[in-house]
Amino acid sequence: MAGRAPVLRVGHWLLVGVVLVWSLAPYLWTLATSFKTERELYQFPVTYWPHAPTIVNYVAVFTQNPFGRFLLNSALVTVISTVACLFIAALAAYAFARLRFRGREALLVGLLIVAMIPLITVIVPLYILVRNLGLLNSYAGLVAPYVTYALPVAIFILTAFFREIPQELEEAALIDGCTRLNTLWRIIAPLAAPGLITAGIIVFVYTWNEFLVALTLTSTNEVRTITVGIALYRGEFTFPWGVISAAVTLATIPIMVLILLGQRLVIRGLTAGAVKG
Amino acid sequence: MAARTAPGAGVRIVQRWTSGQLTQGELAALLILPCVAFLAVFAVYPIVNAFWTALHTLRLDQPQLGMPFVGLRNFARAAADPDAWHAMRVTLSYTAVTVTAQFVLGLAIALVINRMQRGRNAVRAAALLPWTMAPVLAGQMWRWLFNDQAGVINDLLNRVGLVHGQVIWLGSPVLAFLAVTVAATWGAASYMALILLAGLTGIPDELYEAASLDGASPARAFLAVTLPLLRNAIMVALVLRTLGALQALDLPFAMTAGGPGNATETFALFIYKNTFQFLDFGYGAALSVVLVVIALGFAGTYYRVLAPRD
Repeated sequence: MAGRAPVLRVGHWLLVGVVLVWSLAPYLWTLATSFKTERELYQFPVTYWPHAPTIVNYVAVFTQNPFGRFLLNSALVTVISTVACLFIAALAAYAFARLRFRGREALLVGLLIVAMIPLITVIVPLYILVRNLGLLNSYAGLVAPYVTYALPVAIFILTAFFREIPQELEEAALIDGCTRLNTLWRIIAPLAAPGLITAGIIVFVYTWNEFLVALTLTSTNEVRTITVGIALYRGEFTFPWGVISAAVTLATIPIMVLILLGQRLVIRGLTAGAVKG
Repeated sequence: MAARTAPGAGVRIVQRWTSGQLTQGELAALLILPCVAFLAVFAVYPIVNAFWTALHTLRLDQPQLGMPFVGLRNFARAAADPDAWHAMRVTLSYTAVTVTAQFVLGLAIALVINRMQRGRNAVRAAALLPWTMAPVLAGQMWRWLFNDQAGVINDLLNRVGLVHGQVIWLGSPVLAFLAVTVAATWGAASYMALILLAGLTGIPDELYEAASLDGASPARAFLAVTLPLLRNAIMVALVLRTLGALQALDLPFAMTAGGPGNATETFALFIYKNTFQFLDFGYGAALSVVLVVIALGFAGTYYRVLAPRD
């Protein structure tokens, strides 16, 4: 469909350029900032290419600050939450896709409400609940809410994927004497792998980026995640933009890698979860 | 739950599960049990609790008050609180401005990518990235981009001659609001674009060929073919983004902390302040119930206006 006339084609590629600049320029500016010295940082007019590139900000991220710890906390909490959420969501999604049961509609409405409820509404009761369970300022205290609030989107995505697996495969396996459990494990799970990866990436991004729950339910650097760590970070004298930019860059890399690797699946999941759910 | 109360029955159910003799209902109950348990404890209970707390006075800084029932008095207080109205106005303008801008930009991005043949996947991945950045980190990043002394935005505006000197973006109420909406638009336009792009990809080329055979101009084809067929995708995108914008907290928190003054204090930030700074849990709960009702109202309205009619 690309324009036939050369003028149209040039115009089209110009627009593509605008889309790329709009999407990537803020990242590139942050990346450039992270390699600048304190002095160059505050030059105006600004420099677009660091004159004296330095990794001092990245060193500072790990040596003078607990950002390494924050990244580790984020990684642990996110991986545990994603795995647990996928497991629980896969079981429920299988029931939604294949079985008729009482309370199905009620559960669906419940999932929709949980998906829509603003976190700020539940944050205080959640805080009190987690405190009463003795889980304040612990990984478990973060994982439990993360799993819960990621369940709706994971279930919607997985249900859409399960529905696409032909039922005949399962019936054949059952007739061949395969148990239900075996069928789920041997037939369904491998075929649902793209769905699991899709839902997994989306839950991972959601959890890695979450801020309010992590801010409220943690109180020390031993447990704080990277979003909270960066948001609460204050320099001693001036605001340390070089270090912040380095930290933001590092916090963004895992998500970028995931998205670039699984682009096709993520987009399918975004639209499946949104349109069919 | 049943397995807990009757151990013998639990063992029998597991035996029948492994040998494939469970009824559909029993199997379904087992499969949804973990999901229901998590939802009940960490979602349903807190939601009910928030609505219940809204009907009480609960101040953590004054524990001697206890938790007396006050009926709808917290809501009456909100209705008479000029700060609450201000925060609501900020949130509604923020929602109107950002969702409109996200929609227009998102549609433009989707149309551009949809016309691509070579390099399509790479551009789509790049366009997806802004949405994947944590709003709180995006807030920090944009705060630096809008920095008055050494910000790149001031530098660019000076270079093209639009302004002279250093604009203090985050120091003036109007400019700070504008800056926050730019950052929010950057983050979510990409998400809009992808949902709309999925909708565009689903429109068969024959429809455009038919329109062009009938002598329709590209603009006419856009209005007569593209927009009506995108209706579903548009509704999904608008509903999701509106719900997101109404509860905006992370991004203004990191970028302006609601300032200067309370110029960019969204309703969610106002709730946060009342709850965690003033420790007025009852009032905060009432405000958050108001937010839920407004969010549901928006979702319902969109649905009635844009839902596909057969």
